[in-house]
Amino acid sequence: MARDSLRHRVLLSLAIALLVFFGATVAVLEWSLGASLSRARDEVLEAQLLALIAVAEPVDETHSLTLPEPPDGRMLSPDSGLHAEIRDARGQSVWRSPSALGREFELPPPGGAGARDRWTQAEAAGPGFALSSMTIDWEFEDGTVESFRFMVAQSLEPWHAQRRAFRLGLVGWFGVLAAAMLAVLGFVLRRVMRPLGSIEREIREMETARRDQLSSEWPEELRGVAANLNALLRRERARQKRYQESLANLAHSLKTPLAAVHALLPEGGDNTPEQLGMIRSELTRMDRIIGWQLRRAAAAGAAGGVGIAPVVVAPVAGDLAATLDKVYPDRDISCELDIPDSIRFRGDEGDLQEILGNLLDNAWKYGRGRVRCSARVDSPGIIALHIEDDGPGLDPARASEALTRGARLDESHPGQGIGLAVVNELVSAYGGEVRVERSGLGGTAVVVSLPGA
Amino acid sequence: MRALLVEDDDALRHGLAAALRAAGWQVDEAADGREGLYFAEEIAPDVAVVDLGLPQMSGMDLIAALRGNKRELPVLILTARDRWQDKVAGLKAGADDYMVKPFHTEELLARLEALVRRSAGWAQPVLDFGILRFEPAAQRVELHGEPVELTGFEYRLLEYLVLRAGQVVSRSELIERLYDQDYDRDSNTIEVFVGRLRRKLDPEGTLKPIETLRGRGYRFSLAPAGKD
Repeated sequence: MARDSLRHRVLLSLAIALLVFFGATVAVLEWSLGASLSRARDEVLEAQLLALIAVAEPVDETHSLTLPEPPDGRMLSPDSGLHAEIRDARGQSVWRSPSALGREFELPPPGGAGARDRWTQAEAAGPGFALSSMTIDWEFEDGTVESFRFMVAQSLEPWHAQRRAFRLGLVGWFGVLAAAMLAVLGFVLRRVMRPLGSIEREIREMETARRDQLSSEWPEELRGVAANLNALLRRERARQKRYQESLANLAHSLKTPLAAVHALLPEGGDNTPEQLGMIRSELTRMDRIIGWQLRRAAAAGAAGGVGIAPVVVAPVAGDLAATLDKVYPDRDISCELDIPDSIRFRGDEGDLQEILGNLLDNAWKYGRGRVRCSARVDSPGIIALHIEDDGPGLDPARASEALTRGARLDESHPGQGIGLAVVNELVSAYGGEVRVERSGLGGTAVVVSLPGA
Repeated sequence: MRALLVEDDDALRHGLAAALRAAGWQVDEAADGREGLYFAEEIAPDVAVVDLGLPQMSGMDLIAALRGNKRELPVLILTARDRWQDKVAGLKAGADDYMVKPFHTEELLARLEALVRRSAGWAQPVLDFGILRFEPAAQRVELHGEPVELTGFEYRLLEYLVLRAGQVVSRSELIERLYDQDYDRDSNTIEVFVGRLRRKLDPEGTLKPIETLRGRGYRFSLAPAGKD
C-alpha cells in the first residue's frame, strides 16, 4: 500500500496526537508526584529531628549534651544514609552520629532559639542530602541556658530511586496503553476502509479486463460513487459505440455513391479517355480524404476512451496474418509471429487491428517471401511491436514522407498508400512512436511503441 | 460464369451488373440479404459479391448462413469501412476476399476471376498447358507465346472449360452458365462457338484441346504443364 494512503495518514496523525497527549500526562503526573514525595521526605526528616531532641540528655558538669542511644539504628552504621549532629552556640560539634563519620555538613547561619532550617546539600560523589535543623535553648540544673542546634541529614538516594521507579512505571504503562490504542484504531480503520480497498481492487480488475463494471454491494456512503461510476462507464461505452456506428454509417453513405459513380462511368461516349481518367482520379482523391478523416476521427475517439480493457496482441496479429494469407493467395509469404501471450495493448482492439493490419499489409505487399512480427515489453507500461519484411526496404527520407503523408493528402499522388500515415496518426493519439528502420531480414522494419498493460 | 451480386444501393448494383455483363458474366442481382441467400441456394452461382451493410439480413449473416450450409461458393465482400476490424471479421466469417468502396471495376473483375480460378483448384495466377497459357486476371490467352484474339463470349466459354480441365462439361451446363436466362436453348450456337475456338487455338488441327463427347458434352483435354 502506498505510503500516503488514507490509513497511514490517519494512523500517523493519531500516533503523534497520542504521543503529545501521553507525554504531557506523564510530565504533569511526575511533577505532582515529585512534589508530594518531597513533602513526605520533609515530614520524615522533621520526625527524626524531634526524636533526636527527645533522646538528648544533659551533661550538667560541662553544660553539654549527649546521646546515649540514637533514636534510629541507622544512625549507628556508616553509609546508612541517615546522619545526625548537635552543635553548640559557637558552632562546635557536641555530638555526631557514628554514621556521619568523615562527612562534613554545611549549615546555614544559625538563628535564635526555635529557628528551623531546611535545605539540601550536594555531594561530590553521591546523590546529596536533604537536611533539617532546629535551634533550642537548653536549661541546665544550675540554671545555665545554652543554645544547641540539632541537625538531621538524610541521603536523597531513596527519594531519587522512588522517583525513578515511578517514572519508569508511568512511561512504561502509558507506552503499552498507547500501543494498544493504536492497534485497536488500526483494526477499526482496516474495517472501515475495507470497502475502499475493494472498490480500488475492482477498478484495477476493470483495467485488466477481469470485470466490466463495479459490483453493487457497497456501504451506504460508497453506493452513490459506485453507481455513478458504473453509469459513467456505461454512458462512455455507449457513446463510443454510437460514435463508431455513426462513423460507419457516414462512411457507408459517402462511399457507396462514390463506388456507384465509379461503376457507372461510361467508357467512351462523349468523354475522352483523359477526361475519364481525370474524373476517376478526382473520385479517388475524394475517397481518400473521406477515408483519412474518418480514420482520424475514429482514432481520436478511441484513444481517450474510459474503462477499455487491454487487448492481448497475439491473437489479433494471428487473425490478421490469416486474413492476409487469404487476401494475397498468390504471394507466397511465410509469416513468423513471435508475440508472447503476456503482451497486452492498453487501448481499443479495432485500433490495434488498424495499426498491425496496415503494417502487415505493407509487409505482405513489399516482402519477397518472409515477414516477421514480434512484440516485447519495452519498459514498464510500454510495449514495442516490430513488423519486418525482406523486401527492398524503405529509405529514411521516403519513410518520413510516408509517415506524414496523411497531413498533406491533397498534394499526394494517386497510388501512394496512406497506411503508414494512418498508423502514425493512431499511434500518436495513444502517445506512442513509430520508427522506420532496416530489418535483419533485409527489408523494412517498422517499430511501434504503444501503451501496454 | 454466373455471379451473384448482393448490394442494396441500386445505382451501384446496376453499374456493377452492367460492368460484369460487359465482361461476359451472367449476373443475378439481389437487393437484400434474404434475396441474396435465396439466389445463392437456388442457382448455385460461381462467385458472389456481397455488400456488408444490407437490409433484412446483414452481409455477415448471409456469409455465415452460406458457410453453415457448407457451400463452397467463393465470396467477395464489399465494405464502405476500410477498417481492418471489418476486413478481419468478414474473412473470419467465411468470405474469401474484400474490396473497399469505392473501387475500380477492373480490379473487382480481376479479383472475381482469381476467386473463381482458385475455387476451381488452380492456385497459380497463370494456367499453363505448355503451348497454351491462360491468365484469367487479365483475360489473356497465349498460343506459342503469341496472344490469341478472342471475343468476350469465346473467352468465357474457353475459361469455363479450362477451369474444369479434364472434366466433362454438359452442353446444358454451358448454356445455363454462359447465356442469359431468356436464351433459346434449342439453338446450336454453343457448337458454333466451340468450332470457332478450335480454329483459333488449333489452326492445324494437331493439338485438339477441346474434345466432343457425343451426348455428354465437351472436355478440355490438355494436361497442365508439369502435371504429365
